Amino acid sequence: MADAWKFGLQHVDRNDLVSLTREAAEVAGIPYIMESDMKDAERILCNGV
Amino acid sequence: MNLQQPNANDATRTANRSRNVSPMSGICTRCIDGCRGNCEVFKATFRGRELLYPGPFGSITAGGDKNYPVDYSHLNIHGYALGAKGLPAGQVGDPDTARFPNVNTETSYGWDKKVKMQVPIFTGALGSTEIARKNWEHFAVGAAISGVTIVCGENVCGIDPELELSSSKKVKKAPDMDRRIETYKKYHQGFGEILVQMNVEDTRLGVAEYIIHKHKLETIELKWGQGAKCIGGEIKVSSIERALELQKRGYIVTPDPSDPVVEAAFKERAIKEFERHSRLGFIGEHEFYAEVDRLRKLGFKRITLKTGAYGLRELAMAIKWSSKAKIDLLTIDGAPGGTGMSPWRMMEEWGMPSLYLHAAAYEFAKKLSDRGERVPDIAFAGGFSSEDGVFKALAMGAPFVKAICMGRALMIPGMVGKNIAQWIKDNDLPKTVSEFGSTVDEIFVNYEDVKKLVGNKEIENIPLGAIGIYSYSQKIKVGLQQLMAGARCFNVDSITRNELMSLTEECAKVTGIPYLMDSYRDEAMKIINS
Repeated sequence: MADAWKFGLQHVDRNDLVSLTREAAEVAGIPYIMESDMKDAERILCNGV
Repeated sequence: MNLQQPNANDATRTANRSRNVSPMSGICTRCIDGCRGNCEVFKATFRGRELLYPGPFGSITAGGDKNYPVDYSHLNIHGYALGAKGLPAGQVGDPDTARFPNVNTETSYGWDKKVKMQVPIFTGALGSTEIARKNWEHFAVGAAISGVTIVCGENVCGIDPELELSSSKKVKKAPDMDRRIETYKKYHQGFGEILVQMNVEDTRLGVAEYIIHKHKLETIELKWGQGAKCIGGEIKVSSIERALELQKRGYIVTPDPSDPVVEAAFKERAIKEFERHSRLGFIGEHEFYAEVDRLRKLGFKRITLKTGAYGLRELAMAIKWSSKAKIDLLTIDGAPGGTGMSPWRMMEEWGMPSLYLHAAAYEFAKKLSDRGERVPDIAFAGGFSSEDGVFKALAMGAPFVKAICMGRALMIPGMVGKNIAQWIKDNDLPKTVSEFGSTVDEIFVNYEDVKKLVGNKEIENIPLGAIGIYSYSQKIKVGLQQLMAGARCFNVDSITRNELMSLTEECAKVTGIPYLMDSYRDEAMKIINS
């Protein structure tokens, strides 16, 4: 939980996971590893923040 | 398909009783009341949190064994029947010039002030873990004579029992750090350098000020993370006095050695050791630039950054901010990485695995580069141990990747060499070694090379682990020369992503490296249709 910066159980959510396969992403609805956080990453690459 | 089965592993010195195991839980299909062991749940029944870590601390390194859907084995290296890139200027490639021993494996890193290395590898951060401390002489001398950089990890000053602090709680004297730096410098041959890593506690203790004022080091590394875990560095100590001392110096120590209950449990020998943890860092863009600026003003010529297997957001931050701050080397360490002490299940289950992380790093670096923003020199890390891995990583990240950071692999020859010295002394050489001879010069194939390098007299002072690291780095170098010659790349800068092919469609999608049936297809069709 410290790793995911969650200091109470109520804060743990689906965003703390990534799917390692496309199949897992389809089954679980958890984003595929190369897409998770991609929007944030693209914004940071443009603006730094 | 299960990628990793928990509950039993050599890392935690556990095993299932039965051959038949449920894949997801790792529990035997028939779990018996009366079983005498030895799965992780069985052992955790009485040793509790001790089962979080591979062990025993101080005499092992650990690496995760989760079998990710795609890894570097899904890439193959191209070989060509013609061509020669990267030969010295003016030299024309032909069978006489394009010989594999002529391949130049030298590399360099740095924004303006470059550091050259003879082989494109360097050590992972060897920090405050016991295994790094007790083998340092072997690692440092080995790296120095091999012409590669060594990274001295975090917390080295903070855990030194002989550390002296000033009245303002800053490092005044740190004998172990002194020893580490001096050992490397003594045998430095003009290639590579020693750089020191710094975390939250090191910053508070004034480690940067100490190493530049006392040792005139040119490079310091900021640390965001590593591949093995996403919490701070950890070690174990086996005396309550040491635990209390480290707690007093500001470290998180668990269980709390100042708690009377814990003290009583330690006296009863129920608690046998304490864990010392570092703090989680909090990165921020402006704080990052301010810290880089502060370190430059202190006099450091180079600032490097090590980041871990975080997701795409933090990877983008590492690359973008490093570009803006003119960072000299950005090391990107993928999961599961290797460690002297990290929580085992965290190693297995956290983070972006190396290939995925490195593929995204290339994509992001290319985006910046295409927009005209300069990308800092990059090093990839996270599970490399052989020359083919070094080649693949250099090619995957080309032209941004300049070197590969190796943790566990580069430590092994240091430890093996040290042990051979002891076995010779005890007349107890294992057959795996004695089949090559019984004396140092018979056993070590590169003994004479090292002797030539340091001199007939000095060779007596070179620890055998250092000769081990030299021999291993030569193996990487020559193997790399062969692979590079096969791919017709006669220096590191001439290696490109075209030298790789993906063995699976999934790997092609993740990395952008063409599937093998598509790689060079256009060129092939042109020839067929001509």
